Amino acid sequence: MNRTTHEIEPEEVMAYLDGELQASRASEVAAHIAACAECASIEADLHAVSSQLIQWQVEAAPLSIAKSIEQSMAQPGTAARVAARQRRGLIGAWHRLVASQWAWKLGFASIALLLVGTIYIQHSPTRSMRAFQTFSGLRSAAPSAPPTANTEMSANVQAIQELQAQKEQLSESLEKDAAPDVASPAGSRSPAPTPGPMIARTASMNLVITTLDAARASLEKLLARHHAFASDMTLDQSNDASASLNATLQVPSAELDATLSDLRALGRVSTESQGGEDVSDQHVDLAARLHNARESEERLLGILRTRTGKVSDVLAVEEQISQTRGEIEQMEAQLANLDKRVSYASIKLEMAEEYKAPTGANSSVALRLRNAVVSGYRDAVDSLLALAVFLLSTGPMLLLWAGLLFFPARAIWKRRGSLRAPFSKNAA
Amino acid sequence: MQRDEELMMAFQKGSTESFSELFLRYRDPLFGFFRRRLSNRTRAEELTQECFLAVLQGAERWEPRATFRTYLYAIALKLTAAEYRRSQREPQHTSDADEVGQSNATEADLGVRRAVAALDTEHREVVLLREFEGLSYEEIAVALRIPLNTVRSRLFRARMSLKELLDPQPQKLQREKEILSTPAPAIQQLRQEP
Ligand SMILES: [Zn+2]
Repeated sequence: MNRTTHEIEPEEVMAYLDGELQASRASEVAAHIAACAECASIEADLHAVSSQLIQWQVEAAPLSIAKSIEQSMAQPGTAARVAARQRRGLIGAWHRLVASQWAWKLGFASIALLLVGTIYIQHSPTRSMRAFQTFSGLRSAAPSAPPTANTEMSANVQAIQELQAQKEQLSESLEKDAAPDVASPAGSRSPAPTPGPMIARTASMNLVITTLDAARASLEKLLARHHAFASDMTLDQSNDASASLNATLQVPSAELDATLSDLRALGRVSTESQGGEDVSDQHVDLAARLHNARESEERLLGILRTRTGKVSDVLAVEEQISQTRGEIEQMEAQLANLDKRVSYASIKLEMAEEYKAPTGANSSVALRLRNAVVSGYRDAVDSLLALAVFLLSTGPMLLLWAGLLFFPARAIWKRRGSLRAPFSKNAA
Repeated sequence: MQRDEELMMAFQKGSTESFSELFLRYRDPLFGFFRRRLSNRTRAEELTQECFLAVLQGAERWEPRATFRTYLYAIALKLTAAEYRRSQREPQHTSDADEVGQSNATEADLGVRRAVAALDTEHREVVLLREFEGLSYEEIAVALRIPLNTVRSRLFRARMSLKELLDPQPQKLQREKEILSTPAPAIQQLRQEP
């Protein structure tokens, strides 16, 4: 390598790659690189650096930026007048004020929407319809109550209302679909695309066994044989009177009956129950709503592509898209969960060794007391578990209610306070 | 598609839609500009806003002498420099940095950020403006107020340093492997003893 006689500087190779050379010089450099191994390796190095650098990606700009710029532009008058009048501190204060007002209203509206959504999703279609009607008054009152002059706000209120109108339309169509099912089992509507009913099967079984270790070994073999698995398993050997095992088994639905009969062979069955939930309607409902949401997302994306160029419009559409996306993801997860529940039956299995007399205690009274303590302890654990399950399942609903009732309650409280104040003044 | 400069002139004549278009074009790139230069996400957001507001306020006096994006990034650079000075005066502001905790940080991503951080300021700025903001040499020269030749030489040196930083030399890797696979003398001695 001889730098001094090399007619192309390495920097020129770089400038060529960056498209910074005149056309005539560029073709000379290109020809040189093709013939010179040294320059070709510089080219390769530069390519490698650039392609490594672009791995540093950052997230998109948050929507809040658009909001405040929009606010500045919405000021009456031209950009120049805006520029002349505004001072930085004032802008900040104004933005904070607008933002907080905004957050408050939007928060209120979204709580109402979320509430309606939660009820709608969590209940069966017919029950949710009733709930929907009960809340429709409240819901429509909430977002449209403050008829502000703020155009941005009204655009979003409109967006929310449109979304709700969509939901209402959907629930109506579902009502129509559900009605013939009740009236005439034959059904006049065209057959649903899902073949046969979708049943989520469940079973529970309590087994009394002689030794836990042996039973557990056979259980594992049994699971392997039926292509099943334990989604959770707790082994309790803390008290020496009786060891026990609690497990939730996930069994391919087709194998449920065979699995249950094999389980019975492991010991003495003390209790057993089976259940099934027809989730066909839920499935159809979810699939329909998912389809609808995907279509509206497509439509919104279309609108965004042919945007008019007004920030507030783009903003409203973007907000709606992200909302719709969230709903789609939620519904997809629910649908997947539903499919899993149908294809896999779940068995709640409890296996316990027969209560054994503690060593050295021959009295039957002592044995019975001991057993009573053991079972009492177990009952206590069960009730605690039941309480935890109850709180987990109803907690979010309670929170939502608390959130929804907080604002009206506070408003009433304040009003009472302000009414009382003048009275007490007059009295004094 | 209208050029940035045409939109800016239309805005001067009162078309707010033109400014909206410019805003939509540059909000992600500009946020990325600050996001790559500041460790604090909230400040990146605030400075993006400030930068657009500065463009809004200065729109009347804007002249198409340089490209719009040169103008935009020159303002952004000024804001960044002020931010650096501020954070040096008030060191507590660097404590809420979230550089490492960035949610979408991949390992490759982290390597790049470390390598870029290892460059000195003047080389880093040139390479960032070229690779991420996509400015031409001429635009970089105007934005940074340095001669065109300086842009070129700095950019080359910055990229060569990055190559070293990002891709440790094969011999060095080989040596590291050797060291790792050879047991320490003390361990060797222990092994020989029965
Ligand atoms: Zn060469």
